[in-house]
Amino acid sequence: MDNGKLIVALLLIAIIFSVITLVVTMNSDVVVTPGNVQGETNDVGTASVVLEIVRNPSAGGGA
Amino acid sequence: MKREKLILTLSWIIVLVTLLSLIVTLNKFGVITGQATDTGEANLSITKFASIRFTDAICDFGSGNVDEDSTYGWMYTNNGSTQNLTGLSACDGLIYQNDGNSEITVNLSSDTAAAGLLPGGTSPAFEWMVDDTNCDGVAAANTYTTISAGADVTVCSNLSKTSTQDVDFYLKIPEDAYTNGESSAVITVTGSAI
Repeated sequence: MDNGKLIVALLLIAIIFSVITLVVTMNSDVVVTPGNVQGETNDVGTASVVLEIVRNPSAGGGA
Repeated sequence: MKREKLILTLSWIIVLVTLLSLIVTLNKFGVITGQATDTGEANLSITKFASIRFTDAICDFGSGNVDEDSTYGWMYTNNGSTQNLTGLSACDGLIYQNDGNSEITVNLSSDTAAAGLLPGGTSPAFEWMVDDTNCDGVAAANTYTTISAGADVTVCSNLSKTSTQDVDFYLKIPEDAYTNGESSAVITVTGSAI
């Protein structure tokens, strides 16, 4: 094999090694699992209904 | 010829470097058979919680009385109408909102019924109505329903996040009712995460 073909072969081998390295790296991601749903809680809010009823002038038969 | 040998030497170096890189990578990620392996996991937990609040927490009808020639006066907060009343006016009702991160069921209760809110009167009425725009199948939906003191009523089984609901009131005030000062009912809304 002449040197020219040997160089091409070596560069091809280098490319293959690089591709394998890339593939292995990309397939080795850290796995993030979905969030666990924990705990169900209650919450409370309050509001007010307010009024004042004053004496009706006619109440009690004042007339 | 010398140049060709230099290129050949560099090619060998490139091959050796990439081979070394491959071996290190395989070693690091435990791909090579026979290597000890381990896995890591990033775990994220988000707690589901219910949060509900009144965005409109006061319904103040003011102060007044039933017209002297009438037996009863009425107020409806859904349309703001009043009848046979002097001084009193319908409020806008109450509004609560699901501001948590989960859909919720909603319960309503009042610490006071009609007789407590409108003391001394003959046959008073204190009723509520819940707008079902954001929640199907609710109790008291779009129909006024008598309030019982302390009774916990499920008014929505599935209120989505950020959604609101209106609570409106109907008051029937007898002419002989008298509160001797301010009278109030505390309305409590409870949201439970689904």
